[in-house]
Amino acid sequence: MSPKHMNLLQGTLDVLVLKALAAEPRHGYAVAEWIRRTSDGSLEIEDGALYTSLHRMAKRGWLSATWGVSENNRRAKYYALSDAGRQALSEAAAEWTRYSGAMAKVLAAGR
Amino acid sequence: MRLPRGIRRFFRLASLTGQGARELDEELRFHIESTVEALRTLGMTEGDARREAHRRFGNREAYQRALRAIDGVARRHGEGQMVDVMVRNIRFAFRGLRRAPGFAAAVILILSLGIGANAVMFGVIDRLLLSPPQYVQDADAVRHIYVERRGFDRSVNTSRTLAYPDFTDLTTVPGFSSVAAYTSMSERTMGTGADAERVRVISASASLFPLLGVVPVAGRFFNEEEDQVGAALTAVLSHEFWERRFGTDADLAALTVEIAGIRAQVVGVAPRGFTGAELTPVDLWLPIVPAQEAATGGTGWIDHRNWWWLRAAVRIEDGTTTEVAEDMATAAHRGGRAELIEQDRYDENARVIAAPIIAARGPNPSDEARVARWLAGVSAIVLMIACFNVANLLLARAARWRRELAVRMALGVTRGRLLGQLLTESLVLAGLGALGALLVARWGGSLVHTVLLPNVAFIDDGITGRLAAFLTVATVMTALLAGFLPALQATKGEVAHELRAGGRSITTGASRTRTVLLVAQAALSVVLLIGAGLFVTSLRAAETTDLGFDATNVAVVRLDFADKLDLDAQHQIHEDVRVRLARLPGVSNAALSYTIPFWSSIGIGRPRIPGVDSLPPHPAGGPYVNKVSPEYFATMSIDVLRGRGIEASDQSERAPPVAVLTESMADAIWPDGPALGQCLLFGDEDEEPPCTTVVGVTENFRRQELREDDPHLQYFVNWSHPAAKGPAGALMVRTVGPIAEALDDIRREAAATSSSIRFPIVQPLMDNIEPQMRSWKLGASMFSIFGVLALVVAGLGLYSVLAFDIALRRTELGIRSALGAESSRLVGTVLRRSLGLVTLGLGIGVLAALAAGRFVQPLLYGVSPRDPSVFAAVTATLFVVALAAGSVPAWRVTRVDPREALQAE
Repeated sequence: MSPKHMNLLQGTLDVLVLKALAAEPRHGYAVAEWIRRTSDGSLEIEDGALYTSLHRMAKRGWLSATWGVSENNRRAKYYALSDAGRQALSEAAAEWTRYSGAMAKVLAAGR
Repeated sequence: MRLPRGIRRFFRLASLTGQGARELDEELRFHIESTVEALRTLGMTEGDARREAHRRFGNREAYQRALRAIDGVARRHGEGQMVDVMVRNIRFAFRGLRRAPGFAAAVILILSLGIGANAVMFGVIDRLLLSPPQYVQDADAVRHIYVERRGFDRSVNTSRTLAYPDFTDLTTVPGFSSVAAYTSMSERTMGTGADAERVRVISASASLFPLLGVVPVAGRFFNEEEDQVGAALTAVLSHEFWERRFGTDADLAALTVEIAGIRAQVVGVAPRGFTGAELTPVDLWLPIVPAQEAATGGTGWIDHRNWWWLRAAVRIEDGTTTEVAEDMATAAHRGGRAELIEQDRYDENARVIAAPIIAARGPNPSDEARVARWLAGVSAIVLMIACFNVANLLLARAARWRRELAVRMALGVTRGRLLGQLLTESLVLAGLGALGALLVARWGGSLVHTVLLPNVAFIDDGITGRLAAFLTVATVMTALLAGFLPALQATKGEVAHELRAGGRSITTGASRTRTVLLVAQAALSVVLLIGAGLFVTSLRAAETTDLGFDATNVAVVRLDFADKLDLDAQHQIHEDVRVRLARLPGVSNAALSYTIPFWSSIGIGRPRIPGVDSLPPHPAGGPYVNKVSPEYFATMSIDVLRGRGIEASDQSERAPPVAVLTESMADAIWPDGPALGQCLLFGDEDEEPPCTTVVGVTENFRRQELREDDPHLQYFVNWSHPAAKGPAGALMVRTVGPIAEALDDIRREAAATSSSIRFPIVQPLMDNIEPQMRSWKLGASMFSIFGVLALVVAGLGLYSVLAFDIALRRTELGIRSALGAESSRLVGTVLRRSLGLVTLGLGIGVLAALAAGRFVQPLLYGVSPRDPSVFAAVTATLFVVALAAGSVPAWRVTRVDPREALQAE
């Protein structure tokens, strides 16, 4: 499985989205763009999946959603991290760092 | 225009959904448009940009549905939320069922039968054990009176039969606010001649209706004044009889009925289904005092304490405990019989019991009620088997669905939501099953009622509230029992694991659960089949019991006289009828008899025997005497073993008294020597009665019951015997061909003999015996139906599990066959598994049946609850089913093409 077509599971996608919203509130398109840009396009995520993640976390209370006006003056739905969302992000980030560190160690030992 | 709040709230569900959907559309449209714009700035054409935007988004429709679902579920506190989810789940369930109609039909059929069987048994149990007779108000306080007393043979018995003075005594008991007496149902002749018909009559004291709290639907009930000596006879009709015989628009005031030659004014009509304090259907109610006066031609019974003929019901006074009321009643009962007790002719410890109005909960529950209790348990087992089976089918399907479910869980549908959907589906299945069950209950219920319990008045308005409540509970329980485990299993999986394995992963947990369910089904089927075998054997034993006489094709003819005739005249008419009936071409023999087997018997005191101290007492009492004409032995096929029977020469007035004894009686008196030629003395010593010479000994025969294991002491005397006065009780008539074809001829011929005959009552003798077989008939037929049902369902379950296993193991089997395993060995593998499962179930079932055997023992007849032939037959049946269920999957194994199976990887 090449990294380019890395299959993303539910939890992973949630972390990415949370991270995308960590700096500032964004609408869905901006989140997608941010992830694409930041990962150099190596994470292939269907935009639809992104929205399921956004809506799910909104209902879970990690995100708050408000309608605002976009850069090009159109009505757009903006998502922002709530306190619970920020908390979830820091926990997940720590978990991922630990996990990837462990993986890297194991893989390095194989050489 | 703004709508008022209430109305808006009413429409809120729809509008919220609409608004949510619009916002979602807008959000996604913004996304697509933004993507398209961005791509166009990179130099793409409009069309290419749009295609690329949609490609990046993925399956828009699917995501939109998922998003709407997420929003919907998360709207936790919204009104209409539950309804919304439920409606969606139900729609989802129906869609799923439409996709697999065969599966749905199988499940619904199984559940219909399972729930339906339970509905039928609930109806029976409710009538016999749970509900009081209809229209009884505040039924807890209404009681049947029983008296527990020691009989002459010292054995204690509990009986409901009282003498009239006992009833009068009870009316003085302060612990009872009301006391009523009534007879058991008896058939009487209504009308005369061609219009005459037999109607079911109960005579009751006027107090019965107010005691029960029933209100007439027309007119009124008879009152205290009409229930006095010398009162003109009145009658109350049952609603059913009123409707059937007179039509409900008949004018009551002008309506009279003629019962046994006496006109009675109809005063009122009881409500539909009213059966008094009992469950037997009734056509007509008569006031007990004038009715008994008319029937006996006198009032001697009013203070006669050894004339047992009525039952009593009481209502216990508010605030009085049952114990206190019973003590008071016991005191009154013993007080009334003080003289007899003093003379040592009545048990001084006789005790009154105020038992529940539901007779099956009283001291002597009928065998039918006891069997019904078992059958209720059995039907519950059937439902359990049905549940296990449906659970198995659902598990099998869930395994096939796992990939789909895993995808949906990956999309963020919560497990709770999926559980809800799956459970809703099993609820929908169970609900449809319940609808089918209504049909089963309707059809099966009327069958059980008319064929197996004809003497119980069921409420036939179809579905009662209680039945509906039962069905609802049963349906929900079924849905949970059948659906919960599969739903849990289906949604348990590790999502990633499932997705990677492509839904092919064999989940051993689910497979193990299915195996356990299957073994349980087999075990339960075994228990039911053994029950069926035991009851069928009991029934066969009862049907083939050697009664000592041959009751098939014997008719009992009783004459109901229109005129008051003296005994000689009555005897003459009986003799005339006998002669005419004997000449009928369809009749081989006709005889006069004093008593009727399985109906009436009589004792004329214990004979004294010169040289023998006294006749040893027999637990069944007696000895019982019958006075017969010479043809009796041939008519009844009772063999005379020694000496001779009663002969024509014994019949004349001057003939010396003779007796013919059953073997049991002869052996009881003269265990060592011959009985022939011995002398029996009847009557007081100082009267110096003549010797009654024993002239013959017959084989033993049953007097009252199939279950008379110890032969009762019985004997015959000649017609002119001085100790046995009175006319014949009946004529016994043996027909040449089947009795049913001869009954009309016999009735016509008897009616034509004399104008004094109001109505000849002609019935097969089997009618007296057959009701005693009813409990075994009930047990045999219901256990068989349920047992076969269980077996079929378990067989199907076995088949589906095996077939499913094979499907999962295709690859393995393909490899094995490619490696050169012979197909016969693969077939053996499958069959071994099938037999293994069944053997395990069989073992458990047999153990359970052995353990339960002790408890069914009293309900069986002529068969041990461990009867080896029954157990062997059930074992054989199970193995046949195991082989049958395994053969198709096994055959399919031989068809697995190794190449194909491996390529499927």
